[in-house]
Amino acid sequence: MTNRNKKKQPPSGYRAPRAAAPSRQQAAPQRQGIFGSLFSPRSAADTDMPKMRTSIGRGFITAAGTPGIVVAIAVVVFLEWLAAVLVGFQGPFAVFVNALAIPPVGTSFDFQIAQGMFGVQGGLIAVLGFVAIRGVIVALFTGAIVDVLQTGSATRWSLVRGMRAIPTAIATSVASMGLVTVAIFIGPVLGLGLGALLQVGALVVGIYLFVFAPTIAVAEGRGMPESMSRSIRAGRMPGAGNLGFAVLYVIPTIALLVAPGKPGSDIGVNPTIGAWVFVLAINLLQISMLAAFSFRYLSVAGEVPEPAPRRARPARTG
Amino acid sequence: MLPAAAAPAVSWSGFQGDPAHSGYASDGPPPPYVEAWTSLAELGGTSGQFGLSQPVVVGDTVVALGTRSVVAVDLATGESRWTVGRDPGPAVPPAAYAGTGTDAIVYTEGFGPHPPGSRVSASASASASASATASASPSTSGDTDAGPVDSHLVAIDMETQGSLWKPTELDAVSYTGVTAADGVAYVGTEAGSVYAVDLETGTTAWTVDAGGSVDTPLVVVAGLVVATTRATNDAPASVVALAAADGSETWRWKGDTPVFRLSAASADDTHVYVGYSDQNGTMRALDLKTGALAWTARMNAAVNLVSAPVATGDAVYALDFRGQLYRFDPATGSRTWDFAMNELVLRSGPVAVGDHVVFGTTGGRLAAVEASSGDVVWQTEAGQGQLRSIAVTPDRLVAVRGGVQAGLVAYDTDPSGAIVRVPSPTVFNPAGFFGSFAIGALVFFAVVILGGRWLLRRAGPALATEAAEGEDAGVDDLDAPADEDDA
Repeated sequence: MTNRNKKKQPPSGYRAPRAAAPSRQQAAPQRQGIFGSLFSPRSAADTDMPKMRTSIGRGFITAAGTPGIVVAIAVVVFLEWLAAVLVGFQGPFAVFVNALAIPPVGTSFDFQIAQGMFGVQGGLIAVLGFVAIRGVIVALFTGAIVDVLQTGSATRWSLVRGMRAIPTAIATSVASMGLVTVAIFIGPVLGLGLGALLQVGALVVGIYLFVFAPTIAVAEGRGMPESMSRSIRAGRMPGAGNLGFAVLYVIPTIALLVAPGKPGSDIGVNPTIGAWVFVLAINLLQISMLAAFSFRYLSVAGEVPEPAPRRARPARTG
Repeated sequence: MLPAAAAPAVSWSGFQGDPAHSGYASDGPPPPYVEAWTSLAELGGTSGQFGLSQPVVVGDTVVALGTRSVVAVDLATGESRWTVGRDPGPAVPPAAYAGTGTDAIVYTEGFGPHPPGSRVSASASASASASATASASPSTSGDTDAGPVDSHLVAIDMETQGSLWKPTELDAVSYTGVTAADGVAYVGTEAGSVYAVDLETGTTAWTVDAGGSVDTPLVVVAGLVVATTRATNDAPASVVALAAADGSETWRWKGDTPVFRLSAASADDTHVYVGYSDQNGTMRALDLKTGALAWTARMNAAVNLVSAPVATGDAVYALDFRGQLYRFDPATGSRTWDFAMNELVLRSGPVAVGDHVVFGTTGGRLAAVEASSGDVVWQTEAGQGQLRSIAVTPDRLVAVRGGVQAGLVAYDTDPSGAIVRVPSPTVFNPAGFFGSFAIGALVFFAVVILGGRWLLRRAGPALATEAAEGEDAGVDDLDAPADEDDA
């Protein structure tokens, strides 16, 4: 073994993808704005997007390996549960497995909790506040995650950095809420099967299109419209497998939510130790997935096609 | 004609005890309880799964309906007094009443054209709801209890079990059971009709269309007959009050949130109470005189539709299908307390017995909750078969048990039993709340942070920097382009 090999780090042989690699191929000109990103043709370039298992593994290591994030998960879930109990919510505690879920999965949780606390009509108003709170939480966690991914650690400045993404994260939550709301209202018209499919589809599409936006806002300091537009373009990069990754996140999350017999399934305001461990562990996985999405974006940030410059209007003559 | 009975013998006359379905007996045995007897009912057939109906108590006899028989047992011993056959029909609550010179039982019969286990042809489906006579003759096949049977109302003498009058035909199957009050039997049908039948003669006093299928027991209180109707294509699920004298509509409350069905209703002197199966389940109180919505109270799940809230005058109790019992203020709807049993309750409702509320669960547990505190003071272990439809007498509770050993089971106060005190899991317990979190979080931190740091050291930095790229050049590449395997 050579000295060069001895120095090699890390010993596992893990090699992460390059950050901000230059674009392999310039994409076709994109239309302007959020909807421009949605409806413009996808670029033909393939991508260095990490594999799914690499993304999940790196996301988990990022979340679990950062004590500040682990502690924050427990504190945030505890405070959310305490607040819910004080307002009159009686459980089941198990629904809090989605307390830190990524919008719009988390937005569905907000709907459920808001209606559990305030009834159907009151819940529709309360959910607006919940969505805003979720936006703040997602932004702050994203700030910490991006710093850990880029520098190896998170500091209090990570939170300051995350605060820059609050408008973007709230906008993402609101857009997600819109998607979920449309699905809720249209779903019943389509019948039980198609309606359920539409609602799951809304969750998948919401993740697929908007999940990168907070990361973009934190890592690149972009504004809200630009971050969301860029998130859509990043999500739609061909060969990236983002749709599959979104499905991989959404389906198990729903399955877990409806699975019977999980700890904390009973009505009650004093969760057991087992229920706490279970709910905190699932929320760790939720933040791990948020980190996984951040990791995926940061790995291909340089490949995301920029929108074409807006064409100047021809000067009027006469 | 027999001489008039010396004293009213009917102590639990029908669904939830009385025509208002109050579900309340001020004089009943307090907990702790001990099982006094079990009386098995040989139900058999495809319809045996439905078990017995709500029992009624007349003197020292308990009477309940099976789908093919009327069974009567001795209240003291549980031994069979008599059994008479009936035309196959839903095992829905009968009503007991003191007739002229005799105590009697009135009940409905007939599954109509769709007896359980039947396979109905398309042509039969088309004519399913129309005919009130046995001439409706859809083709049926398979393992059936019986062929088509028209629906009708029957009254029998408790002494002789003979019919008191010619059966009164109904226009469709009745699932409401019978409510008997002031010499009149009230019955609803799937076709949406409400019947008032004179208990002396069996003649129909009036019939009205309630505007939707009526399938929960009718409330009779303060000169009103109150029915809940299912939603139709044209109308939401509603509560409708008819004048008991002539059936004229006094008021109608149309649900404010789309639901298919409402629970059975109950009433006290001021309100009608009904469970609403909207998203999380709510309890609604309507003004008895006007039908105006008085209050709405939220619950954590819907009230099961075959039970009704219990109304004692100073409290309203409701039991949702997840086994959570609520006490509401009848004036305001504010929740006084709740107890979460966290056990399914699919067909049972509570009864108020003195200072306690007693209910059975689908798992076979019987529990008694103290009315003042909301604490469980006595309960059995879950048993075999659901426990439901409790009737209360001064000395004894009689409940219906479902499952393999279906029948009736009686409970007495157990002088040697122990009273416990179990607060609801919905009561905030600071030690449990913070203690469980603290221990759970410590376990979580220990496992995750230790494991996570170890993994982080093995994995190295997430994103390769320019400085590290040279050293990483020889490392095994685990990150092939995504499109190689992400598909």
